[in-house]
Amino acid sequence: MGPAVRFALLLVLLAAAPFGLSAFAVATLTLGLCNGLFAYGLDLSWGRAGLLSVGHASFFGLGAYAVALSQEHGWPLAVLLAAALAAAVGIAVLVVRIGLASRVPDAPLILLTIGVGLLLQHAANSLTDLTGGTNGLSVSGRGVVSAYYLTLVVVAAVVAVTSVTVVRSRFGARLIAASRNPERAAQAGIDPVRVRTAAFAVGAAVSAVAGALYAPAAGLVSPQVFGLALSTSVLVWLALGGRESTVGPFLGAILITAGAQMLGSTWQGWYVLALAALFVLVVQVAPAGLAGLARPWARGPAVKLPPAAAAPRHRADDTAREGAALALTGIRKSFGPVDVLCGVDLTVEDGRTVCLIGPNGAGKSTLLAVVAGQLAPDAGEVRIFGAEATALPVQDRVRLGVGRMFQIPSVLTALSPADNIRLARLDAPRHVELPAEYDDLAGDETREAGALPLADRRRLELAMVLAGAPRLMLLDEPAAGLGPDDARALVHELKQVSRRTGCALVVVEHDMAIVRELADDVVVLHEGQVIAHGSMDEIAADPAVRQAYLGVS
Amino acid sequence: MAHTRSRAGTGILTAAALLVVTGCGGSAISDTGSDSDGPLKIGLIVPLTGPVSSTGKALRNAFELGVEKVNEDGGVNGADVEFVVVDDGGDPATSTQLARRLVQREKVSMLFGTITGDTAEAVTKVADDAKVPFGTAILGDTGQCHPYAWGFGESTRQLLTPTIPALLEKYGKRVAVVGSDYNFPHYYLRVAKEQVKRAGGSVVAEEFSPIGQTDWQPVIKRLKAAKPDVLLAMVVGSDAVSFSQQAKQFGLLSPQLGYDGAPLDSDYYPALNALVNGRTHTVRWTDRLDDPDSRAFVADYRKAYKFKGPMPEVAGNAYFGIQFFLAAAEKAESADGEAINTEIGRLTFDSPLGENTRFAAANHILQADMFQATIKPGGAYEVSRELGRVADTTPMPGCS
Amino acid sequence: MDVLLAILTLFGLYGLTTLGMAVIFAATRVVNLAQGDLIMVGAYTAAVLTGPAFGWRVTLALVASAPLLLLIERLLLRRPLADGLATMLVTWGVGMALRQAAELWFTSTSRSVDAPVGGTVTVLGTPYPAYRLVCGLIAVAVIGLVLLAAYRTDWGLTLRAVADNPAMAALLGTDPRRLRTIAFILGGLLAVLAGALYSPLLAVNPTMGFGLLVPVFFGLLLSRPGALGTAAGAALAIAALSVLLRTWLTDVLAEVFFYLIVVAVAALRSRPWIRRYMSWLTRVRVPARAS
Repeated sequence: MGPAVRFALLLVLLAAAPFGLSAFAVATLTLGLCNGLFAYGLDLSWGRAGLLSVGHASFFGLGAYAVALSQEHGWPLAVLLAAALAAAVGIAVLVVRIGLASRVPDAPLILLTIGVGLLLQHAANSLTDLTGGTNGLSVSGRGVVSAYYLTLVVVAAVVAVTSVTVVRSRFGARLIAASRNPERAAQAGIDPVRVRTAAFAVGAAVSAVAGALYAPAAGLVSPQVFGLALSTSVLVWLALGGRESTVGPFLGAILITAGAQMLGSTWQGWYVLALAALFVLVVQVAPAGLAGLARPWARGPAVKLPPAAAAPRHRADDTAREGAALALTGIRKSFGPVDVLCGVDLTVEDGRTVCLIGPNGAGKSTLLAVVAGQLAPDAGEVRIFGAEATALPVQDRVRLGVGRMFQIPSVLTALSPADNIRLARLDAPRHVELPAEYDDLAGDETREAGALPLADRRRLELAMVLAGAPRLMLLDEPAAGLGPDDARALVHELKQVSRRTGCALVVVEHDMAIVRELADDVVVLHEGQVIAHGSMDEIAADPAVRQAYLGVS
Repeated sequence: MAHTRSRAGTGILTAAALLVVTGCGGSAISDTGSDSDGPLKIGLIVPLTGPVSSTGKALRNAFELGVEKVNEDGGVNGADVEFVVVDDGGDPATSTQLARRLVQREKVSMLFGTITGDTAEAVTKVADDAKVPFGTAILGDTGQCHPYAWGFGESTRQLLTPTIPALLEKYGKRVAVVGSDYNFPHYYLRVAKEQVKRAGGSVVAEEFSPIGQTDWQPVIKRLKAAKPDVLLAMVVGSDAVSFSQQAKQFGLLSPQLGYDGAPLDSDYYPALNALVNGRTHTVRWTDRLDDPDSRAFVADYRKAYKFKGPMPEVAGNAYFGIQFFLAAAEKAESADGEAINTEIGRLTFDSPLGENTRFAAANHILQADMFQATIKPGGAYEVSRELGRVADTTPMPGCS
Repeated sequence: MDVLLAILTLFGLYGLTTLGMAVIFAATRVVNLAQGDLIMVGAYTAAVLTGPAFGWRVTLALVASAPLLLLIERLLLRRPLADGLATMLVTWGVGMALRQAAELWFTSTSRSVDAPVGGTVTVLGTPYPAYRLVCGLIAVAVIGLVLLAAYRTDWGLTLRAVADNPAMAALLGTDPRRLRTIAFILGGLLAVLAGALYSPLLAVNPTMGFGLLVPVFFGLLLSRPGALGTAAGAALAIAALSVLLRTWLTDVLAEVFFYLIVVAVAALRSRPWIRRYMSWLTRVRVPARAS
């Protein structure tokens, strides 16, 4: 049974509802579907893009007011709806861009979303002539049954469209990577900010649609639709139903909406108390929500890439190789009063393996981060295969052929190794056949990559970098934490890579045995400057190096 | 893909379960229109949870006693009156849905209840659409009239007409107004300005603050700087308490300052007793009203609900208001909403709220008596002056 | 002068609550959304126990809430949850339950508490209600003590170490579980204290704390995680902003500008040049969080 068939089956069941249910139950179900779509929109933003919004009611309210204003003042509905969608997307993009520019995005994002919601609520309160102030605007709906079918059709269409384009597509695979490990996603050529912003914006737009459906179903739109209470309620529905699932949000929203309508009047205060208790219990016992209850019986990692990820669309490898693999001139970088890099000049020719050594605090890792694009230099120029790259973001450098391994292996821990490699291939310039020794990883669908031993995680990271067809690899202490056997195997593999692919390697390394084994050239960094560049033997004899390392002249 | 299958499986199972949960009760497709036979049924919409639930419960309690009394006296058209109580939690969107449900599913012939202005407005719209009369018991109007909405609380003008000249005469001509920032206080201020001008006074300060204000110092400072003789406050809910407390602490509420408005309502007496003792307050009903019917109701209420403090005005309005509605239904000899609504517009009714009370056709405001109560320690709102019939026939848009 | 006193009083309320939230956040990485409702618990204790003197009621509020906080922490926040957000949602549920329990128990009718100190005092020529001043001063003293403890005692050092790097602190032999419990109780008690102390200024009702949550939450989000000093500073800034805006503008306009400014500050703070300037100012590099 494919997902489409199951979706259709569920739809038929829902379409049959008015034949078996009372008008009141159908009206409740209509409202539940609207709320469910709202929670589904929040799931795209919070669950899938990993960006917590405590003001999602802003978007919902925009949609609801579009319908209410159109009825009240006789303005064309299509125009207002388009304006509401545009406003929702605009606000979402702005908020996420600002939030993600911060190192710790949670706090600014929460602040911004709450702030926007409160401001909109205030506007709706104060513009009495337009919005009716606190009393709100009443919206007349059609009959119960036709309203239900309209809602059902729109909800089904929105869910179908978003699941095909956002969730089950290559975009969905990129989103999984970008929200879980933006660093590694960028190394796979994905722009994490753009992907997450897009998903958040789609979530906002879906919520606005939900609001537009809600207005006639509820019959009244008042400033409370922008309120913090609704924004937190929808978080509860989603947490209860289960994130990153299609049924989950609907399940949570419909259950709570129906519960409030059925039991609210009889249980009154006790109902609210019971709801609070139930909520605390569910978050405790089943953090993945009701939809997550079914997961423990499933095999393999909880998160899987959508099938579309198995069919990458390769970009043409159009950048011509010209010039040195890497050319740095006058790179400077300081953190506050501390100057870490003070004018580094370095050229790495194509196909060479260069080891970067130097005492602690010499600026090796900072230099590597500047080359990879994680840090912007204060001054100087970075050229990669002749292309000016100083201002390019990480993912664009990856497209120039840069591949990076981190000091602590950075993989997508929630995905299986096979999915990790699939992801690395997704935006690669061409298909790279991995050597047979990676077959165990490429075929492993059952384990989570986070459960692999360190050496395997290191191999997996290397396999991911290789799958991206790099021409310049950056490695930060690749052997750190490995046993001597694993370290030796890794060094061997790196030499193989260099020979097999003609890729240039820049390696930060402390272990002189490894340096001697690996390096064509050695570069010594000391107090933010290159003090020596040459073969291992030349370096060992260099007086400046001896001075720096041993303090002898 | 095992997990996806089981998840979708849960989805279908749940959908089926939900249909069962929300279901049980025929089919929406085959539902027919309203039937006006059978006993009269009333839908009561009140907040039983949330910030205004205390007032909501008082309304419900009095309403139940009112219906009980009518049933003891033989019911309406020879049958006992039935009613359904629902809780809107003070949220207007919920009120709308509940009102629709009461009309469509419960086939009620009339609606009653609501506390806050926004929920009242929401139910009014549904009542107008469904052509079912809707009665409220809380004070205040918004300057709008609706064909099916009838208020048993005093209108803004009925409240202010006797209050303002008396306050101005006793304390002085400079009036300051403070209100919570929502529709009703703004309207209240407009009417108050009108009346102050007529009484020869001037409004020297007007302040509005968002609902839920905790720190009133800046507002109180500005009010104090205007040196008012009289302060009219339409701050509601918890703000009524925090504003009065802080105004007292800043020395604004001196005995030389005339003070009237929402904080003097008996609802807030338990919290504000010392601040309001000795002041006068204009009311439509108080539990100390010297009238046999009113006294019997107060005794019943206190006994049935073990209630000790001063009873909220809304209880009296609801108790006698629902009896007014049911008398109209008796006269209409039908459970049809439209017929009852016509009778409500024509009926004159005697109750402790006044003799021959009736609704003005031009604004649907109940032409009834008002009283000046003096607040005695312990929460006795003693009638100190009978103000008699206070007419308010100002025409309002909406009713022709 | 008037404005300064107003800021002092409001800062006392916001500062105690925000600092409590920051202490909890430092130790557990959980934003305690029940913090506002703990204010309500404190205020109700002061309002309901009419017998003993006010000072005793405040003490009693603290003594009575400690076991409640311990219970919440032990029963609900102990489980290793998927992420901090889930725990945050648990605290939201706890707050909801506290609110509803209060409504069932005490009804929604507001109560009031008489100020133990009446009258006004004159501060540099400005008359000011005595109890507001007392309240503000006690609150500031408590905030000072907590900050002193955080920056000058071993316990404070451990707390800040845990806030910086929980795994490392565990290696150094601190029992993070005990620290978390203590921090949760301490942070919660600060809110309870704020509620009990400020009850004579406020209307005591079940939803009173929910309204206070927004400014307090803003304060926490504008501070640096683990740096308790910045939390108190942010609370001061929020209190000052609120009082100043409302002194210059009408309340309604002031609220709009308040949100606008908070949103603008949040937006600006994430701009790289501001960050660089601030990191230069504090000479501390904010450690990048591992993903």
